[in-house]
Amino acid sequence: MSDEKIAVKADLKERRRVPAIWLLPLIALMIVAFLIWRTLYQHGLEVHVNFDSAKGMQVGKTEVRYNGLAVGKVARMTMTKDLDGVDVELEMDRQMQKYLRDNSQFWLVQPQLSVAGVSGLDTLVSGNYIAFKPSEKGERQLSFSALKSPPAPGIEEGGLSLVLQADELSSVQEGSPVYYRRLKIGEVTRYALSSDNERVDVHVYIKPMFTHLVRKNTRFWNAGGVDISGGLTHLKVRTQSLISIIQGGVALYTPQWEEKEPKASDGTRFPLYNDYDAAEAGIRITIKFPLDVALGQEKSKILFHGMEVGIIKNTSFNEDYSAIIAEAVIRPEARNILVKGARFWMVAPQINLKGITGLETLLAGRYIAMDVSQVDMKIAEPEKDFMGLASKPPASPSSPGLHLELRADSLEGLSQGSPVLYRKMPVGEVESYTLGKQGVVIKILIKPKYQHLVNKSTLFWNISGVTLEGGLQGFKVRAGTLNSMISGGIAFKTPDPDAAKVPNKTRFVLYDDMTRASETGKVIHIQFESADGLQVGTRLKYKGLEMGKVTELDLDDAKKAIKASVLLNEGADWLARKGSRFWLVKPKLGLTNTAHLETLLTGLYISVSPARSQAAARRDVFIADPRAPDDQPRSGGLRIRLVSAQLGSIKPGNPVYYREIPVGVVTGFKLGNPANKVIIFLNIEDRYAPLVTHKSRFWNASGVDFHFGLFSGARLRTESLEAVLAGGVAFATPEQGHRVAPETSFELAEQPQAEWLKWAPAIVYPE
Amino acid sequence: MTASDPEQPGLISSGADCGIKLCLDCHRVCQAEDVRCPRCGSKVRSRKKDSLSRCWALTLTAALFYIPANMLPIMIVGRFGRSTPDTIMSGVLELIHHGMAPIALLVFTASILVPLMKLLGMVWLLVCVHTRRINPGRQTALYRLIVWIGRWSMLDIFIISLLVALVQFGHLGTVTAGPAVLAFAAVVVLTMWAAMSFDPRLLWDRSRPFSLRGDQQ
Repeated sequence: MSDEKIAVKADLKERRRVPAIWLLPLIALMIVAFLIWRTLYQHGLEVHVNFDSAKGMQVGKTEVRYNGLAVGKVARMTMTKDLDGVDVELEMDRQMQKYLRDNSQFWLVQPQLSVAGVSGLDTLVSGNYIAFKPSEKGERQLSFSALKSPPAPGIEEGGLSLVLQADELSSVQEGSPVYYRRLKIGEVTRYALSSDNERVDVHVYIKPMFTHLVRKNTRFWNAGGVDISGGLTHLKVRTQSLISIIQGGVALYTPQWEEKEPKASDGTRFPLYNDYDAAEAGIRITIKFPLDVALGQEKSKILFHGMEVGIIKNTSFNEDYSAIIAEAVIRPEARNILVKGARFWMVAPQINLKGITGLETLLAGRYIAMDVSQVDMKIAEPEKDFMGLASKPPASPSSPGLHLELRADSLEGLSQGSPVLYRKMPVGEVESYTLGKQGVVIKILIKPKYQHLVNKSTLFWNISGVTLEGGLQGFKVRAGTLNSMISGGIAFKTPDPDAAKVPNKTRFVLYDDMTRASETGKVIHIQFESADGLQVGTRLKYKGLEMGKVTELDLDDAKKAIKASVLLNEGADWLARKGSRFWLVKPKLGLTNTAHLETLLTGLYISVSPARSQAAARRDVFIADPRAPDDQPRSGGLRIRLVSAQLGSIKPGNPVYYREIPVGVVTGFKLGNPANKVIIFLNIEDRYAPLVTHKSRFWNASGVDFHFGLFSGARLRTESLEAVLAGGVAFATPEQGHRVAPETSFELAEQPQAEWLKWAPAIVYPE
Repeated sequence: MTASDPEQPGLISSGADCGIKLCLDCHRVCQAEDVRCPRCGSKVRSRKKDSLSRCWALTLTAALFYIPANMLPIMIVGRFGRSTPDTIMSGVLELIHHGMAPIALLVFTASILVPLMKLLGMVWLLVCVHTRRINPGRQTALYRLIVWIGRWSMLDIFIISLLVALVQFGHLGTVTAGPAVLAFAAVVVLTMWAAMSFDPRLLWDRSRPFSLRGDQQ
């Protein structure tokens, strides 16, 4: 037993030595303990994210990914208390802890199939996943609300996130491309109603390599669909790409003229214009129009001297409905003309009997004209609110060009804007007209380029409408351009190009027509006994050629005679000399003498017998002869006189016969002084002048010479039947002799002697 | 307890009683005083050295590793870039979920039940040895079962290693071994070692009420 006891003791001693094998459970314990610790404390963070729906999410399977790397997964899903959403408990990697902050974002990635492309395709096979966007800023946070859609991508990637503010969404969708010169440089990431529900905020993302294209002044416009614009004459169809037609899109460009603007920063807000045209417009102004301006609903353009500089965007009434407020957008390049004093007025088509104005607006629509001619641009202050005018205002005196005032009796078809033509070329226009003391004062503006055409000698006349001149003898239709026929117009000419220049506001007379204007010659005054048959326009003729015209008829100062003012044509001044004689030519219709029948049709005219001597003194006032002067020399004839005791049946116009051939005419007669004789004036045709010599004998050829004798029988002698009826003078010459001087007097015999009738000298006369 | 023992008590029932011991390597019968086998030279002991202690340690280690083996993902199956880690139990549940109950049962048995039964069996045997609640026949049968089944426990590891080697299709599908594999393998190996370090002769030693040195070498 003692052995046993010793053995037991030894046994006990041996047992104290713990076998090395017990290290194993120790190590295992440590390992397991470590694993348990890791599981309990180093396990993922519990993060709660509130989702609208748990569509496609599976507990334990749906991953949380950051840049494609799984950083967590769905641990649990419960409905929120109000059943509004799903509270998803995520198990996030612990190393993500420092990125779970206020600005961290979670959203569900689902496959999206659209025209623009396929996104989230990986989710088709692997299921939806939760995307996580870490943030290193903000408070640490373990509870989040998931985004409804992916956030604007890539601030951390260097791209640019912008917000475009549009009036309406149009065809822009999430994923719609953003184009620059039809190159896709980004896309629409999402859109939302603005906080005040007034606009739509469209968030776009610009890829990093294109961010430099976006500057503070860059224009964005909706490039979706097809934009058809323009008038009938120039239709414009604009599209970006086929995709943008279907899917919508946004295009941008930066105006060339203001490239200096700084680059846009992240989150910059831009307006999103409806179309390209709208995008161009930049500066918003308001124009207050009177109520009677029919602005209409259409987007009226604003033209600055024919150039489109803006467009009316919106019209509304002011508070008390006393005016129309037009909101307009002016192109940035025209910003310099938005100055105080700039004027706006409505141009609408006007059709009336006088003409058509604003005809172009019938096709292109009404427009607003704009003008800054009254403003001195050097000291102009910028302005954004303007007063609109109902009609075109007169040009200001300071606007470039020559301002002239024309005085006229009436407007005669002229209206504002009627052209001023020089050689039928428009060089200016009618600015305005006012009623003056002596008719109408028309203000016209000659373009600076043509200013030199006007000087002191310039004559203006109205070319409005059609001037019809003439009578039965002939018509003359005078018209300016078709335009001036319709809308009126003024023409001018400058006879003396070297005349003195005229300053602004010089007054001219506006003549009714060119003829009037041309009547620049001398005015003479002729006194007539009566105005019988005289009228304004009665012509003054010399040898049948028009030399002037009656411009005015009036009683003379003593109210005893009629004073006719006759305007002499150019070059007819020489008539106005002492000694010139004037008389009224009337038609004569008698049994024996019919003369000036043409005056029945053309009216009476005044005939003139110019002074014999061109050296005679100039004179302006004449007294008209009651009838044509008898001793008026016929052109190139031989004037001789006959002296007779009785006039007989001789009348002016009676022929003078030589061998029963008429070679001259009785031009007149007068009672001699003393009155014991009658002087008859004859005019022998020039070529027959050699027939008359001092020995010539004249006798009265009127009537019938009837001799009846018992032995000689009856003998009847007459000169001619005309002579029998109208009377006449005959003569005979015995032999060739010297030509007689003019005004030589001869005796008129009652009867020819028999021998006179036998005289037959061989006198040679020029053929 | 001993009543059912077919061998008669008091009779020589162990080699130690006869002063002999067995070389476990070449199975030569050696004298009790032999330290080394005269034939193969390996150390010869009457009973396995520190059998119970080693067995306890190994069993305990295996039990410890059994925890992570079941808690950690054993296999990570990636499909289309998305990996689902599966613990053994979640794999079983998924199999059931997919309507493959027999296979689930198989996997459950092989991967959870068997290691667990092995551990419990070992503990049971050890406890029995300590408490001398011996039924050597049944307990030896249990021990044989544990040893026999031990070699099959590596089935899971084989399958996983095969899958990991074969299923490498990149994005389409990949299989990666999870951290539990090591633990599981450790469980299997440790339980096998534990079973090996257990000397079933102790059962018989302890079943003899008069033996005083049964638990000694």
